[in-house]
Amino acid sequence: MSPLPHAQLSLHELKRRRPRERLVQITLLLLVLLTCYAWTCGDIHLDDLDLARRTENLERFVQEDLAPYSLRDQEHSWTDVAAWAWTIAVTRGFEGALQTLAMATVAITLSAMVAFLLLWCAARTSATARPYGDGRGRETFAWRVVRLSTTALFVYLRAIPEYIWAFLLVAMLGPSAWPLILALAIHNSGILGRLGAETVENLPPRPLTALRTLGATRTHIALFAATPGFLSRFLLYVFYRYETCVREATVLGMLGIASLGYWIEDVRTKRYYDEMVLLVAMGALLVLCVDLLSAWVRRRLRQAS
Amino acid sequence: MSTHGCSFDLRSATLSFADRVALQAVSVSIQAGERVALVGPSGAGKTSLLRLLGAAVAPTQGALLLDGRDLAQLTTQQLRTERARLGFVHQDYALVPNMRALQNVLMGRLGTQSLVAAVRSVFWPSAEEESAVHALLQRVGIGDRLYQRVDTLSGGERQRVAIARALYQTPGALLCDEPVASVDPARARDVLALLRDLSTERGLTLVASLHDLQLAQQYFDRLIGLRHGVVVLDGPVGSISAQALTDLYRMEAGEALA
Amino acid sequence: MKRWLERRNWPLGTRGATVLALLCLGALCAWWLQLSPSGLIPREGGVKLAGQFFARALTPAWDYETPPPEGTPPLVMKALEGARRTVVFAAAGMSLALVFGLLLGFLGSSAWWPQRMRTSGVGPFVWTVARTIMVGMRSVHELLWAVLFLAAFGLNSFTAVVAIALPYGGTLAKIFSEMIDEAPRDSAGALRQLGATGTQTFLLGLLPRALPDMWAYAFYRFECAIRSSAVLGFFGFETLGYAIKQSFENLQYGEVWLYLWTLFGLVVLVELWAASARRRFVA
Repeated sequence: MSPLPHAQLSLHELKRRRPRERLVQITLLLLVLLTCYAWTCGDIHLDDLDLARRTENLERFVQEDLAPYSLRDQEHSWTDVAAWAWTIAVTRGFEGALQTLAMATVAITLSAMVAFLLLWCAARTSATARPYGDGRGRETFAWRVVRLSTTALFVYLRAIPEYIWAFLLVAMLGPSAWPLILALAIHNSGILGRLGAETVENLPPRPLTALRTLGATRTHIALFAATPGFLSRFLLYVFYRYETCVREATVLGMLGIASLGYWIEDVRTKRYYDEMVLLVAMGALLVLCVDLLSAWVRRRLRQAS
Repeated sequence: MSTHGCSFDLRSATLSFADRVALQAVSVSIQAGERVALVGPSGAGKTSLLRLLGAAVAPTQGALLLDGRDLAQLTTQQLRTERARLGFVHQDYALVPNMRALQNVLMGRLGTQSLVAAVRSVFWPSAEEESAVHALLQRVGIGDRLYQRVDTLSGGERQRVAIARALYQTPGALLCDEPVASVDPARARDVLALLRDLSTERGLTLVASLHDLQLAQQYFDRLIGLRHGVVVLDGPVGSISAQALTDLYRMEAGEALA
Repeated sequence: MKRWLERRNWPLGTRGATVLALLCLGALCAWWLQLSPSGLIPREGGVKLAGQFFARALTPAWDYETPPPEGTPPLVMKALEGARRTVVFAAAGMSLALVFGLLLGFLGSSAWWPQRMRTSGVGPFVWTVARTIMVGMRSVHELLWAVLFLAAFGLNSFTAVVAIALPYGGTLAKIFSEMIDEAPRDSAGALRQLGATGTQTFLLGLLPRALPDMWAYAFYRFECAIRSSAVLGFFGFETLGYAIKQSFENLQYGEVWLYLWTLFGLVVLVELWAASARRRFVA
């Protein structure tokens, strides 16, 4: 900042020239307006909140639909309910949960690999004619095309939700595990690719530049200098996405692929709401476990770096 | 707007934490309007003594009398009022970086305001408040930075905002923790001269911890030397021998070697 | 086992071990799922379908592929209407989520409690309850919330809003409470020392430090809410997903691609907006 550019200005003048966050102000205003519009435009029918009817619905749901079907017409104790829940868990729940977990794991591994390979083409420091240089020198047209197209690819991959990718892929590949895995992998490669590229761009530049002046090649620097530098952070992101993957994998099963979601959709169409709630709760439990696991791994990674 | 300066009377105060004793039976009496430099090697307890004087912590044993009143006898509300009279300039300035200089200075009055009044004043300052803050910032030399966000200011400018915040409290004393630790030598003299002038024109008691003995002797009336949480020398600048000052630091070096 | 897990030095170092474990687990899972590359070859009819579908990727339809009944608005208008509904549900859900998130986020953070209430009494109780509610809200996916509410209340627009608001509120609450607890405390300490009360300190010394991050995160979640809102269309709410499902099932791939590109445009627009606003705010 230049030394005292307008030291003698009056308070009034200072106030007139004060720096203002126009963009932030406009953004806040627009968001408030958008919210008001959303609630009042008529698409959200607040009169649907007809509480008496809704409460009635809810009461019926809780009292009739949620009671275990096989025990509905008889006296039952909590042990009966537990036995009923255990049967469902053994016949469908556990296997569904395991499959969900397995598919999420394959998907996150795939997307981490894809993102790792592609992110070098998207990071501003590596995808230029003079990688890891001091930022000077002309940029070639070819590299600009590579970088922009990779970035655009990442944007596209993550802009379309997993569910839609899965919906389209199921129609083409049939109901195997692949559409679910691919859908998750596609979306997450986009996210991990962008986050990874940002991390590479934010690496302290000097060590890399020094290697460059020593004559190391692009690949050498990427493998032996940049990767050790950004791996911790990249893995943090991977595990953070892993949580989300498990959440999504549960749901994508509803498209007819054997995960927990498949069984949820199965009992939903049969209107066995008692079993549905139980399976949803199992899904929540699975997500919770993965949450804890991922939090633990991320803490370890943070300690290590 | 000047008030009378605060006087401090610390009576054999000990400050201990779970694992160490920061100050050991320190007795120090500081008159209103005095300018005192706390000197001594790192870890000697200078910051602890300042925090004690600023009523940020209560002594584990002993007592602190502020203008003759024992702080331990005060209610929470009274203690809050006393704290509001003590301007503290932290070493890292402790400003809110993503708010304007104006707002940071306005926070100086929090100790005497209700919650509603405080929020009103920080977010919708009146014209009087703005011009009062502007005058203070002009006094410390950065009047034109009134509406700048603190994180766009340089280190020296931030320090001046912190000083202005302390002044806006209309304090009776200014307590400065290492005011020149992170400023270059030429600026250090500016800052100390500013603190000295402020203390003279407003009758403020000034207590600052310093590393540089030369600066301490030049800008302050009285030196208090600390080592291992004990006061080892205390007296007017002229009365302390060069030998005593060298000893203050040299013995530390000997111990470090041993 | 526990001692091994807590060990400071894993073989290969933490990162090496993590990478290796991830790759092995991935391979193991793939084997257990009996994944084979042959599964990637589209099934019978799938090849033709895939060919037809992707052929339209760069040539989306601009008008209905089969003549619609009289009085239907043009296709582009329908896509825009779908986009508008998507945004409406996302914004409504997000505003509700923000209320939940702020409320639970404050209750679940420990930074604003007075020192003596932090270790005993109400403090721990309140934030344990708040954190349990957060976990419950966010462990269930928004589509599963939607499914539950559809079963309990039937199809109505408010269902979609609450289905978004609950998991998003839980996530916001979790992240907000972490951000508040991790915000630098130095300015809060200074205000405390000049006589500010606990509430003043929290509102003026601590919250402003966390606010930029909270705002950036909330904006990012808004982008996610748009995607979720689009997907809710597959369950009967009239957002973009509804149109995509319909057109795809009628084999009108050009229309599907128009909707996909609309969704893409919408998300990119919000993302660019969020990115530029975030840069200014976080600085």
